[in-house]
Amino acid sequence: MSSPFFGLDIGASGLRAAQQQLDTAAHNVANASTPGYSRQRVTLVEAPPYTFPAFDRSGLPGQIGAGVNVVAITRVRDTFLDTQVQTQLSIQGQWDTRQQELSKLEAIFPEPSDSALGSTISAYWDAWQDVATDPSSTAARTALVEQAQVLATQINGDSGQLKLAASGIDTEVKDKVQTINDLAKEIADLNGQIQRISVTGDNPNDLLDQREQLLEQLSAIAPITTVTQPDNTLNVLIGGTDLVSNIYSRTVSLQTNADGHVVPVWSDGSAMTLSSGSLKALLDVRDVDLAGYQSQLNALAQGIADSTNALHERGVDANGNAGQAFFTYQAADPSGTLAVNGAIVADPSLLAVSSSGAPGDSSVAQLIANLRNAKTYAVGVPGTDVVANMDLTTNGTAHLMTIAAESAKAQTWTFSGSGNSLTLTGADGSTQTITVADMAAGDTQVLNFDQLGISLTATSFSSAKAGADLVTDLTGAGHNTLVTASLYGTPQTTSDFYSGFVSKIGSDESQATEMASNQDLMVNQLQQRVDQNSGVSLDEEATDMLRFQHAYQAAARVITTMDEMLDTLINNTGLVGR
Amino acid sequence: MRVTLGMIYNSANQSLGTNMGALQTVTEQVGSGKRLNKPSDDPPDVRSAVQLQDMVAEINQYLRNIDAATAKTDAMDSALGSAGDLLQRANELALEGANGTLDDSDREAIAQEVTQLAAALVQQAGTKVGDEYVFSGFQVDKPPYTLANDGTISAYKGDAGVSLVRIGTSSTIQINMAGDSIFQPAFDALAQLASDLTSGAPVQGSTVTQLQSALNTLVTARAQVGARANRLDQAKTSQTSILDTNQTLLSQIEDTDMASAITEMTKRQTTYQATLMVTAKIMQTSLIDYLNS
Repeated sequence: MSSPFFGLDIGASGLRAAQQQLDTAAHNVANASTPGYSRQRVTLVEAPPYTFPAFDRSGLPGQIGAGVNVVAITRVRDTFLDTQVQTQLSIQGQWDTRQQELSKLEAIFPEPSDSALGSTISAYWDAWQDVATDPSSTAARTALVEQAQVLATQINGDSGQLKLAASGIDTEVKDKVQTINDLAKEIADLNGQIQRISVTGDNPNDLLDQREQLLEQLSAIAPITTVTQPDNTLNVLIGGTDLVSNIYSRTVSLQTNADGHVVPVWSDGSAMTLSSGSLKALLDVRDVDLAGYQSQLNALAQGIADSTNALHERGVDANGNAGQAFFTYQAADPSGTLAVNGAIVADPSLLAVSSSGAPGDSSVAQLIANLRNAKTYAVGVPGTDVVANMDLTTNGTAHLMTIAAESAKAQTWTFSGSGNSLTLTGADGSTQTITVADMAAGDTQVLNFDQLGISLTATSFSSAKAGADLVTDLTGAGHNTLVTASLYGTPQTTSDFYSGFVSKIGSDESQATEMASNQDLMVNQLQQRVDQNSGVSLDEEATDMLRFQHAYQAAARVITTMDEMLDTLINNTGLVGR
Repeated sequence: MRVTLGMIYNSANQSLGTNMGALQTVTEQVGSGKRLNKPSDDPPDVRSAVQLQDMVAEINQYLRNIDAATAKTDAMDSALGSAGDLLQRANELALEGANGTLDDSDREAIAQEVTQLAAALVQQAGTKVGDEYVFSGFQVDKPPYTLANDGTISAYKGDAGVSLVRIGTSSTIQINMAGDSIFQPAFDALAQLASDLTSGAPVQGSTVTQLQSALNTLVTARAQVGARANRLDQAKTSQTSILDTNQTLLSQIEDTDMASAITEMTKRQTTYQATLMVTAKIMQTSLIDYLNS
């Protein structure tokens, strides 16, 4: 027969078990809204039954159940799901950050609008047109110089904002790296605590939840892979390199690259491989997208400046001198340093709008105004190439006034011919031959190579000029080359180029917004599944609490029963005859 | 399927957020009147809108140019008209002077008037619009002819420069004229007339012919100017119509369609309110409310 207190022990074990379950249910309910909390369950196992197989075992029928043991308190968590969540959080972090940064950049070019860069460029061409229509008006000239300054200032401003955005991203990169380092230290710390507890055989449930939260924060910044060790510590790797290993963490530091921006590197100087995450998004926006927009803006500034300058420098100002450069800029930073030539700002009479110097001659201003719809313009070196304002001096003087090449191909062309026949041939083989007429004094003749998109205007001011002499002038060895350049790489007008640029910014941001919102849905779905598995359902806990409460009550009743039995045994046995 | 507190909260949040986001976009469109407020609103349409804006600005510039050109052609037309009248008068005087019954003093009187006519012609040739002389070619700061104190008329001071004004994407129009081709014959004829009248003999037949020919030159020039004025009129009409087309196109692309935007706004508001009500009902009750212990 077993000990009389055996039953009490069984009852007590039941009480303990129910007590533990109730406590755990209470813990679950208290943490129902705690972010990252996984519900905990008590694992109950039958106590080792009596009797143990041995040579000297008791003769009682066995085995006799010995109650219940609380073996462990476990958390309900699907670690596979956790890994999926971390991966998707990285992608979400990447698209969210990309969308935020691109929408800041988009705000620099709020098109379509009548106050943004597009309108200013239109007004600039308009101002040249006003001078072309009314060349002797000082008001028109002053207005042109002012409008050109407004254009230059606005481009400077936009360029400055792009640079500011780049520095802003540098600051954010520093912050993110700091966060990574902080999180790494905390995870390493938690690893240490978890290790100490796991070694004793206990489950560090709440610490594991905390660590999982930190991992989720970390994976939004950089994509991580985790390897769980037998002692429950976690190795965290970014791009194949250990960030956290056992209880030690590595640091990520910053290096300045050739462009003066910060780049995250491991503390030993080796590069960090990032395949997603908000850190990668920041670096991509800064080094790829922003750099791209900056170089497009530079190309815009250069296109307008170079073409205006090339034509302006062939013109003649009010004092009879050759035109200076209209715009100035530094090659290292065209959009940031674009400015109207200070000399012209101080003295608008230096505007070289004419070809001949006469006050009513606005042929150069016309050409510059026509750049609005031009894909190419004529550029060249005086003395080497055929250029506007060239003196044509064989047998009488004539003046090559202007060269219009708005829709020509950008390449080098050569003049050839004899007699009155003039041929223009491009480097790509396209060619056209025209007949050059004789000119009386004061005549203007247009040499129109319309199939090639080029036309030259010649005027004989003071004396007659035979057509054949004009041909001789243009086909002379050493200066029979004409060079046309395109304003923007692939031939397109300024309006095409600018609208394409703005549209690209818009579609980059629009794509990022769409991807971010898709990714949000994806992450949300996954988190719902995690919640479904590990979240606390108040209804479920309430039902369980009822169950545990009844179990507790029943166990207590068992103890009461045992107590009465013992009472009978102790106090009421063997009293016969007393 | 196990449903936890967190799941319910999350999905309610998600729905409310989505509806609120859509409501905000529509409100912005209705408030600003523009469907396109930033490049990402519709990148291909924004591209078209930016190009159209430039085109509208360009056409407005052409309209301004046309107005400036019209001012000049009107001034030239009026000057040539007056010049024609002067030469007509000279013609009458020439015919009078050709009459053999006049004596020297009569002819002297006529010669005086001829001198007056020449001076008036110099004025007409020196017509200005704004600061520019329209009959001097490129030398717009100099009058084509000047009158000295002793009555002699200078040589032509202008040149043959052709001033062009752009009135369309590929069309330009000349707005000035070389004064010498128009007025020189007239001055020469008047000088010849004066010389005849002071020579003591009646006016020669060849002088009358010369005057006729000078008058024809003026009339032809005026017809040319008239043709330019017509062309400018047509250009104005056609550019105005092109402007209308482009502005309509621009408006179609970038303006909000108020009717459909407001309908969308109402729809979203209703959905939002419905979501709020449903969320409130669901999140209120759980088993714990019904346990009484």
